[in-house]
Amino acid sequence: MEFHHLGTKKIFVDTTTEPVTSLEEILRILSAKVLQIPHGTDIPLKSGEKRIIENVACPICAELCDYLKIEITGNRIVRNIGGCAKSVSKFLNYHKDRILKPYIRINDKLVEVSLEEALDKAADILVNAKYPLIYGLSITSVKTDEYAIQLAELLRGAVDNPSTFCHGPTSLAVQEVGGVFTTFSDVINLADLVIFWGSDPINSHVNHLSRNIVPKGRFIGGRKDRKIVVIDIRRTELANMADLFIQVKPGRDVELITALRMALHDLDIEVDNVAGVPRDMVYKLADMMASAKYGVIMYGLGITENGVKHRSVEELMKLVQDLNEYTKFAVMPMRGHYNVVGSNEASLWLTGYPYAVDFARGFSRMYVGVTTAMDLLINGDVDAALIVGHDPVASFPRKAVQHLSRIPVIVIDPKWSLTTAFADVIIPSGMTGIECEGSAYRMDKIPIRMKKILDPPPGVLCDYEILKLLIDRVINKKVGKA
Amino acid sequence: MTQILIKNGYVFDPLNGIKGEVTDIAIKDGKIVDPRELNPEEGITVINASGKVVMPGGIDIHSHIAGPKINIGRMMRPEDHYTTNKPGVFPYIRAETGLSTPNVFRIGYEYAIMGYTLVAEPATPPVMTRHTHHELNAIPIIDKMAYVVVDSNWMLLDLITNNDPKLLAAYLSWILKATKSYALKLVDPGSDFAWLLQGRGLDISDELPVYNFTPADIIKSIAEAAQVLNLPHKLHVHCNRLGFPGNYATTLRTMELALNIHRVSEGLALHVTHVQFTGYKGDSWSTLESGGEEIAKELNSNPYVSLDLGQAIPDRAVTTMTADATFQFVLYHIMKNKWYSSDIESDGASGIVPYKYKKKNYVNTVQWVIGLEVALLARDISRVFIATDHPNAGLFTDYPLIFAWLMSKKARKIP
Repeated sequence: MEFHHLGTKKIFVDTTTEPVTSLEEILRILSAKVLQIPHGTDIPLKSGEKRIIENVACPICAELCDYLKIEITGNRIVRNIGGCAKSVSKFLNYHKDRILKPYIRINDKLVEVSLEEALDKAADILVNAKYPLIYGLSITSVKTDEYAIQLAELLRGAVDNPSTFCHGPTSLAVQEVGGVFTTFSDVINLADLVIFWGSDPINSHVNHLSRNIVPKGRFIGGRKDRKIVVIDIRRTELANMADLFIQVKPGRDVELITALRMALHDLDIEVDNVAGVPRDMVYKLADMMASAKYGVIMYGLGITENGVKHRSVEELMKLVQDLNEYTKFAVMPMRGHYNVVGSNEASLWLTGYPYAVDFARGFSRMYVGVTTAMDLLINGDVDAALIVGHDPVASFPRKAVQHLSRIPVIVIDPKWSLTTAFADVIIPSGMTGIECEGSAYRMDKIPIRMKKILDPPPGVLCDYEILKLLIDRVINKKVGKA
Repeated sequence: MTQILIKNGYVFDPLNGIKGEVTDIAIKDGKIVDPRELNPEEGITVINASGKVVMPGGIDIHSHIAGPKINIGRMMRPEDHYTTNKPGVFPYIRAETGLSTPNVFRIGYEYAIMGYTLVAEPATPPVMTRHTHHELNAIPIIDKMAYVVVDSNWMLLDLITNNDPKLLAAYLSWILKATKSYALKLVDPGSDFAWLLQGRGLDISDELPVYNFTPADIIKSIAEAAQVLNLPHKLHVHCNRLGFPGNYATTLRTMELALNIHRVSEGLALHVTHVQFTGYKGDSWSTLESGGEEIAKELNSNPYVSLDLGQAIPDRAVTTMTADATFQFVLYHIMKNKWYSSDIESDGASGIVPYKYKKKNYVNTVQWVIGLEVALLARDISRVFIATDHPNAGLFTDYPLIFAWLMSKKARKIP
């Protein structure tokens, strides 16, 4: 395969004859505490009575499709109708690689223990830590998020969720200037211009197009009545189906947004070329935007995570605010994990801040770059970590991961992951949306009920129940210590 | 079994006509009982209230304490939290933060300290009400409830077009049941629909885009459905043209609608909310006057409406938040600062703009006067509720100030 980047050299991707790096090797490179994590531990499946459950919400991405039909026989999920490939894979393989018993690490081995022992050890770690970090919360229900934040407050630690490295800048932009947002139904029924900027739903939110762009709305026809514009640094799959594709130089979106604002305000753009986009194209796009009846910019990490930090999103919000002088225009952040929005919302109502909340002084503070999980780990500020429903080892930079190998780590998760190789205590939990019910928030902030369609494996609790037990233990131990 | 005896307080109980009698109140298992029913052998907690007033818990009929709007307010205003923190006390008292956008714990604690026991969140779009309940659940101590916004719901507008009152009432009753909310709310009736389609607002007799009826028809249809459903709090109305000079005329016409509603149920037919914002006389900001007198006169002659004040508090920095997206767009142009707006499914829209009331600002001074004028000129004070439309015109923690202004001429002179 061959990729072209503006202003960069050609990049070739080719097949190799080198052997695939083994899991053990990866764990050794990352200096994991345990090199052999048990896997292949599946829930034994038994066929039985056939059931079809309708309107199931999908615990994958923030599209939160809530119209799935799931067919079950016994405890085997046999069919998922309406879900995308990712959704089908999650439901049909829910039983694979499950953590079925609590574990404690002794030297480099994980040893099976009772839930009581695991909770006790976990509470000991947390109570004895000076400044623990609680991280995750996006792949679980808001109830779990609420307990996790309460625990952070009791321990005077820090609590963070994955918006710290995805749509956190969206929150920062809202803190600075506000914004104009919309929801799915308005897009379906009204939007005649949809701009995908630094996002590629064909790969990230698979059902997004068939759900929001293709259908006929009340005041607009289907796809043929909507103009689709794709702005990205490379010609994505989505660009091929767009009416207009604009290629912008990597990391320079903010220049293009500023130029669009200038065009809207009838200011002269003096350069011929803005961030790789010809001046005429800037005027054309600005005109398209201002003359749309209801426009939406669906932006992704291409906007939020580049060199200018939250300045691109801030400028984007201002652009949309300006566009509302002419017409109706809004943005929609294409959020990732299915409940990352919920983790922001719960954090807001409990602490006043959406992420990176620190309780070292007994009240909430948010310092991006200081109390964000990544910085706390890279700078070695925290001396224990509790990971709930997330796999930071798979996504954090090496330095942050290495700190996890130096401090005690507690992992609450339904499945074996890279992070479990760094754990001192592992407590298994049920899968939210399959074995545990709760609420999750869609990317447009609509709360959706996650259903329980199967029982968790014997002896396994939902993560909010585990956190509740942990909170009780922490209170008792702290009172005992005092 | 818990037994409590509150001794020697001045007891006020409007429902039973008790006005300041010194007597004892006994509570057994959460219920007020005759003091003779208490069993001393099981242990009684005695509270000495001598020299103090013992009264039923306060009810706040309109205060934005939960839901998507207030949560976005929290996100949008980190500066509102910076100097307002109070650490928690291990293990049960939680950390507090925020003034105009307080976190759930401050809301519960502050209301309880003021003696309020029931607070209503006045605007939650049906599709977002699950979120509202998450927050209401998280607020400690006090009882909470929510009113559901129904004015720009497309399905409902269709039902009004079809002129089928029975189906309309059934739909509203389903919404109330499905969202577990207490009452129906109209926010600038029909305007969010016009905002969504055309980016504009509506006066009470302007025709809606697409539909050939007016906001007055919406109010009337839903008020009559509320009669059929026999709701305890019939209809909570935020009038059209809120925030525009001359809007007191719209408010008067909204109140007059209550006279024409076919009444089949007991109680008041309409509640006009935060009347201060819709009591502007004059045709521009520079000629603004108080329409409080006219509104009070209408209230005195119209027995079917009640209202709350939305009292403005001078020198108070607030976060305005409302489902009236149109007006927030106007306010954004006045403030030229942050503006958040969101269209919400086919249910409505909302806007959030930070604001500050200034003592030396002419308009703000008139706003301060309107609320007080309405309350002071009203003859039946049982139909006038004190509120600041928290956090729009002031904070709920400012209520003691309003009580002082209403009770004392001297206090009114100070600001």
